Amino acid sequence: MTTQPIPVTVLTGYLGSGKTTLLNRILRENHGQRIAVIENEFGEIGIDNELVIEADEEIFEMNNGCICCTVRGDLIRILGQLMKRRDKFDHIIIETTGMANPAPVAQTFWVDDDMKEMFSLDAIITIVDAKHVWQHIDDSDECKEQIGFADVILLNKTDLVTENELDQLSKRIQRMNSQAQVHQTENAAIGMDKILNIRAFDLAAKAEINPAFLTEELPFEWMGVYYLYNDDEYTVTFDAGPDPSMDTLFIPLDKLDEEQLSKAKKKAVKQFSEAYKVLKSGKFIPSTGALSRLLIDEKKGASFRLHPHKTGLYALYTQHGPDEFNLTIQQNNIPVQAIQSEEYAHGHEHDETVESVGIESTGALNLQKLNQWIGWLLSERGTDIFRSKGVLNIADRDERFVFQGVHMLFEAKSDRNWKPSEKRMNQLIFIGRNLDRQELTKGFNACLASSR
Amino acid sequence: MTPYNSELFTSLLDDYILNVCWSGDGKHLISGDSAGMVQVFDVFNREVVHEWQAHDAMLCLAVSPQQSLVVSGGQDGRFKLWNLDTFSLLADHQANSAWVECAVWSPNGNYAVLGTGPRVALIDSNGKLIYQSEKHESTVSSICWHPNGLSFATACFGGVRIFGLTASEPLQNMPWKNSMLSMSWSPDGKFIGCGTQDSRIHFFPQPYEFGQDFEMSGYQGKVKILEWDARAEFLLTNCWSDIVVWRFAGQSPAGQIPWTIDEHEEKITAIRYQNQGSCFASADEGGGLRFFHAQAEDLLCYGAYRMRSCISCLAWSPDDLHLAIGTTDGEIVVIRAPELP
Repeated sequence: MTTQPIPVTVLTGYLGSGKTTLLNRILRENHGQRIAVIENEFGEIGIDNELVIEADEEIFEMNNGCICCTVRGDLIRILGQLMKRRDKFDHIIIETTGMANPAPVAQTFWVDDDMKEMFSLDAIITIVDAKHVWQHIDDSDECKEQIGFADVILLNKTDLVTENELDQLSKRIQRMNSQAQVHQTENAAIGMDKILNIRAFDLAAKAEINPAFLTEELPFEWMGVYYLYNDDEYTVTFDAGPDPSMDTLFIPLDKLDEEQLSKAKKKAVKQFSEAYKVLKSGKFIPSTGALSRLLIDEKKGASFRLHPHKTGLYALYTQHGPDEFNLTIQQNNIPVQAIQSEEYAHGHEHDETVESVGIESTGALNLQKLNQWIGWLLSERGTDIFRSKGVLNIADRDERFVFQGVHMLFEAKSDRNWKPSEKRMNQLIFIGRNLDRQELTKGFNACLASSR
Repeated sequence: MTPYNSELFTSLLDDYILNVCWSGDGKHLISGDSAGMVQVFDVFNREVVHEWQAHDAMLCLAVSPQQSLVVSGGQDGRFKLWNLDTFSLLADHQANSAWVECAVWSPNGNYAVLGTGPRVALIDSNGKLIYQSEKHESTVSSICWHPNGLSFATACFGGVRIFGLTASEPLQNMPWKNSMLSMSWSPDGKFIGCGTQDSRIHFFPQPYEFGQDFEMSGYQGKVKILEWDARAEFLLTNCWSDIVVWRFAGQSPAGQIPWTIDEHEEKITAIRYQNQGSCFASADEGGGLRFFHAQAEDLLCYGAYRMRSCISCLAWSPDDLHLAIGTTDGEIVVIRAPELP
């Protein structure tokens, strides 16, 4: 009894975002497909030859914080009934009205044997009201989770906002979920090929990670290059700022060019995930490339000493922007100016509890260590990690290794061979709530075959 | 095994056969398909006596054990009662839900219970609505009657409730935080068993006392079939392509190792005990059918048959001499059951 699985699209969105408009478009579109829509709440959108079905809301119990075992009984029952019909459906859309988290629905198609046989999860689509989303994006967990889970995000009602507002919203959403395809729509008008049969959950078809997030998300917000003398002592001063500490790193540079800066940046990313030394005011900050966590008094600020181990160029990386703490480096009370500086996108803004954390590295991974780490990570942090995805380079393997997860459930497999022209890379993305970039990076680095 | 071939009757429809039921006198077979068509066959004269469209899409159909009544429910949210002698519509009710998914007659045929979304509706044999229950925690997934016909149980996510014949509030709540998919009440009235979403069977001993319920686990998939023999000695359950047999004999099977019957090659889809005898038939997704005799510690597979597609339902004739078989492709076959060697 093997038949082609029927694709299932999960549609989420805040009330009034335009889900019903989108559903009606999907149903009316001349795509020649028979589509069944399953809703949490009965809607008045029945169309000829189409179906809108009522699904009663079901409570999901958390077994030790795990929702794997308790999948959506109602959904399974309804889909089972639908499959008895002669006029089988080509596509199923499940609207998760009133549910903050579409994961239980999505997971149903992974964990239930019958469902796995008959259906394949195509994508999670979230529709966002570009005009009104600002009213709840900061406070509503539901809104954040819907964005965090999405494979496709429709920024709808773009005609009601200015270009600037739209630009701000797009950037914010990209920071929360760097992997989603974001489309701007008016009246939910969008090509069906952008939302249906896109196979976002098919590892064989979609084992790619959008690399854009990697440049946008760094564990530091600022870098400045200084020329410092070995025979001088410098004072590094911080005023009181928004945080009681600041992670800081000096990396010596041989010369000031793109290549050196790029190398230093990679080193800084790695160092920021390593162990740090906590320093109180008055202590020496190392100049040799070791991470320091500087404690800054909430009222008085802090002042540290710096004695460069050699004369030359240094790149200073700071966790927060120097302006937030009025950072100054002085030599004999004379401020030293940065020769060059760079600001990085605030990938870890304080107000964003839902965000994407990307990790990229070139080393080969030890599969056993990786399995242990991913297993531990998703069981311990799975409730906060909404989605995860990775394309990985495993030691002594010719094939790429791909995996994806929804909360603590994940599937992994060997993919195609690495191409000779291709650089073997590890790319991982985690989307979720309260993610600890340093913990994730550190855990990942420990899986490298070269790591002890 | 030599296929047993004693086809008495064959009818080829187009749609998934939801259920096949015998009339009380054993002369007629009533079938319902997913497209909403009800057909009444005169099995021995090999003809269709009557057929009608009950719903646009049907979800359940049940024939009363003694009286000539059939009740059906559909995706139109309606449940209907028909007289099989006159083929007239006796009652047509609109439920407060989009779908009517279960229909079960009481053992004496005086009442039928319908699962109407998160509620159940109790009707009498005239089609009169006696009550509609209060809302359950979720959609009612299964209904079964106490063998005495004075109460029935409903299963849904969150546990099992027992209702009487007069009040719409449950007589008893038996909570269990899981999705209950299937349910059966033992013929001696001592156990209610439920197949759960996480591939276990949860038992509520009767009369129920909080904390006395127990579970049997180890299944490879969801237990959708819980079939008791008439004496409540054996409980047959599906476990992928195996049949797992628990021995009760009035006691809990806890601590016992069940029998496993591995005569099927594909996933089990139906198991039916004879009405009075100690034989049962089992069917699988590939159309395979087997006949077994179970007694004491002995189990004998004494017959086999094959349909062209997945078997969806089985029904023994009242005299246990014939077996009706329905498939997901719309085929209905009645065979004379093999005799025990």
